[in-house]
Amino acid sequence: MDSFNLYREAKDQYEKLIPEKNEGLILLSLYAKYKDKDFTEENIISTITKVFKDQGNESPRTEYNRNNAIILRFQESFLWRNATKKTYQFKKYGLELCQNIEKRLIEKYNPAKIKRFFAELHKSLTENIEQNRDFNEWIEDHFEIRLPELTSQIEILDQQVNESVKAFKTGINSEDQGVLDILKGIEIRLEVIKEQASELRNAFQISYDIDDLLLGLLEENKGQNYISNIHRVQNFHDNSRSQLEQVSKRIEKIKPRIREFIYDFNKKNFDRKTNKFIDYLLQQSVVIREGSSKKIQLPNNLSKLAVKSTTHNLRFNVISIREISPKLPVEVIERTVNINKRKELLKKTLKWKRDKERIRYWTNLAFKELETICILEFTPFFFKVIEEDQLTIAVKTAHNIIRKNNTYRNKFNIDIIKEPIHNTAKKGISLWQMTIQKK
Amino acid sequence: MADDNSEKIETYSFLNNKRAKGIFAKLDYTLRSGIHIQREYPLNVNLYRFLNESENYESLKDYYKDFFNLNLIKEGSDFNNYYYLNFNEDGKGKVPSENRDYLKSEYIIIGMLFLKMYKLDGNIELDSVSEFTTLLYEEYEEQKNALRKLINDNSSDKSTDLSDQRFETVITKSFEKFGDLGWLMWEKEDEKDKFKVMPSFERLRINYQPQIESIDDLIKEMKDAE
Repeated sequence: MDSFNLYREAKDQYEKLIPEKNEGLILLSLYAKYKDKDFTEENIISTITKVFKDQGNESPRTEYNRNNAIILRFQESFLWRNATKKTYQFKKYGLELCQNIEKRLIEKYNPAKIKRFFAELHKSLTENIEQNRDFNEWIEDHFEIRLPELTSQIEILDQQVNESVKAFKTGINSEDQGVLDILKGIEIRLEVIKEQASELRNAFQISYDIDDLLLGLLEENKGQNYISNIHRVQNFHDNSRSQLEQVSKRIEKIKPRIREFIYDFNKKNFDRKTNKFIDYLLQQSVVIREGSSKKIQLPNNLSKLAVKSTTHNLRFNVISIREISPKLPVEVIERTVNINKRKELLKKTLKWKRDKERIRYWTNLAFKELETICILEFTPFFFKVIEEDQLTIAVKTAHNIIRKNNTYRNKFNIDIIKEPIHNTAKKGISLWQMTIQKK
Repeated sequence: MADDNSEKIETYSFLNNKRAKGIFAKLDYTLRSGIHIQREYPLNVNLYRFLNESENYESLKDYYKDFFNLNLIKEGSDFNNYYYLNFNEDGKGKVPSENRDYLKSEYIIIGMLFLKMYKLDGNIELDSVSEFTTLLYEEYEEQKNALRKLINDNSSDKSTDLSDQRFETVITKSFEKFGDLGWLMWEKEDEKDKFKVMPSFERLRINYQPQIESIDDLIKEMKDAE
C-alpha cells in the first residue's frame, strides 16, 4: 500500500475516472432517469443533444462522431453495453459517482437527524463517564464524527437565507409582470426557513444536557486533562445556538422590509423617476465658492432642506455652581471586607449546590423507577419529594424530568389528567394527576 | 383652515390634555431641534403617542402656525407615519436665512443614493454605514465617481488615499446627520455604524416629489438650454 502513489496513478487515468463537465451532466441526467435500469443508445443520444443544447452548444446537424466518441468513452468506466440486448446500464463506479453527487446535493436540512445525532452524543457521553473511560476517546469517536454534519446544517439555513435575499434583489429589478408573486413567494420561503431554524434550535436543546454532563466532569475534578476539549464542545454548542438565533433574527429583520416593498409596489413609476432624479443631481450639481469655503450647489436652484432653525432653538448658558465654588476635599472611602455578606454568599452558593444535587438525586430516582417498572405515578412521587425536601426542589425536579423527557421524546409517554390531587400532609398544595410511562 | 378648526374644537386643546404637563416641553424641544417623530423613534414612545392623537395634532399644528409661523407636518401612511416641523419658507422667496440650518447638498445626494440602493434596488439587508460605503465602491462605480468629484472638487475618476478618506468622512457625517434627524436609529449609539431605517427617511424623497415627477421635463429643459 505504501508504494501506491495516488497522484501518479490518477494522473494517467484521470479522464477515465472523472468526466468533463458536459459529459458529467449527461451521465447525471441519465442516472436521474434510469438509475440502475437498462436504457438504449437512442436514449443516450437524446440526452446528449438535450445537454449540449442546454449548455448553449447546440449544433444544427446530428453530430454522429461526437456522440459516438462520448458513448465509447462512457464505456471505459461508467457504462456497460449489453451487445446482444443492445442496451446500456451503469457500471458500479458510474452509479456510485452519480449517487454521491445526488446525496451531496439532496442532503440538506434535516432536524430529525440532528436530534438523533445529539441523542447519540448524549448517550455515548453518559456511557463514557459512567464507565470511567477516556473523555478524549469520546471526542474522537463521537464528537468529531458528528461535528461536520451539525455545522453544515446551520450553514444550509444561512445559505438559504442568502439565496432568498439574492432572489429578492433580482426580483425587484426585473421587468417581469409576475414580480409581485415572486416577492410573495420569497416571503413565504423565509417563513419556512424561520420555522426550520426554530426546529433546529429545538434539536439543539439536548446540547444543554451535554453541557451539564461536561460541567459535572469539571466539578468532579476529572476534567484537567480534557479542559481544552471540553471547552471546544461547549464553544461549539454556544456558537451553534447563537448562529441559529442569528438566522431567525436576520429573517425577522428582512420580513417586514419585504412586506413594505410589496405594499409600495405601485410606486414603481415614481421609483423609476427617482433614479433619473438622482442621476440628474449627480451630474448637474456644481461646486461653487462662497468666500473662502466651497459648497455644492444642486441644479436648477433646487430648494434646500432646512432641518433646524436657530431662532427657534435658543441656547441657554448654564453655569453650574460646582464650577465656581471652591472644590471640597473628597473623603477617602475605606474599603472593608464584609464578612457577613461573604458568609451569606457562601451559604447561598452551598444551598444552590445542595439543591442541585437533590434535584439530580430525585430525577435519577424517577428515571430508575421508570427503567425498572416502566411506569411512574408522578403525583405521589411529587408529594414524596415535598415530604423530604422543600417545595422548590419538587417543582424543579418536575421541570427537570419533563425537560429530560423531551430529550428522549420517543421513549416516554406523559399522561396528564387535569384533576387536582391534594396531599393529606400539605393541604395547600395540589397537582394534576400525571403518569409517565415507558413506551 | 386653522380658523375652522378653532371653532370646532377648543383652541390649543392639547394644553388641557392631562399628559401635556409631562410631555409638552420634551416634545417641543424635540420638534424644534429638527427631529422626526415616529412610532419607533425617539425611544420615548409617549411623544409619538401624544402627537398621534388627532385632537392634539390639530391643535399643536395651530399653535406652531399661530405663534411661530411653522408647519407641523404629518406624512407617511398608517403604521409608518411621522411628524416634523417644517422650517422651509413657503412663498416668501427662497433667500437662505442665516438662522436656518440646511441639510448640506452632499448629504441630500448621499441620502438619495441610500434610498436608491435600499429601496429601489432591493438591497434589503443594507443597514450599516460601512456596508453602504462598500456597496457604493463595488456596485455603484459611476455614482461613486460623480459624487466623489463633487465632494473633492476635482474632475478625475482617479483618487488617492487622502481623498478617499475625506470622501468617506463625508459619508459618515451625512449618516450621523440622518441619525440626528431621526431618519434612522442607531443600533449602538456609540458606534454609529449599524442602524435601522425609519419611515421619515422618505421625507427626503417627498420633499423633492414635484421635481421627481417632472424629471423628464427638467432633463429636456436642460438639453434645450445646451
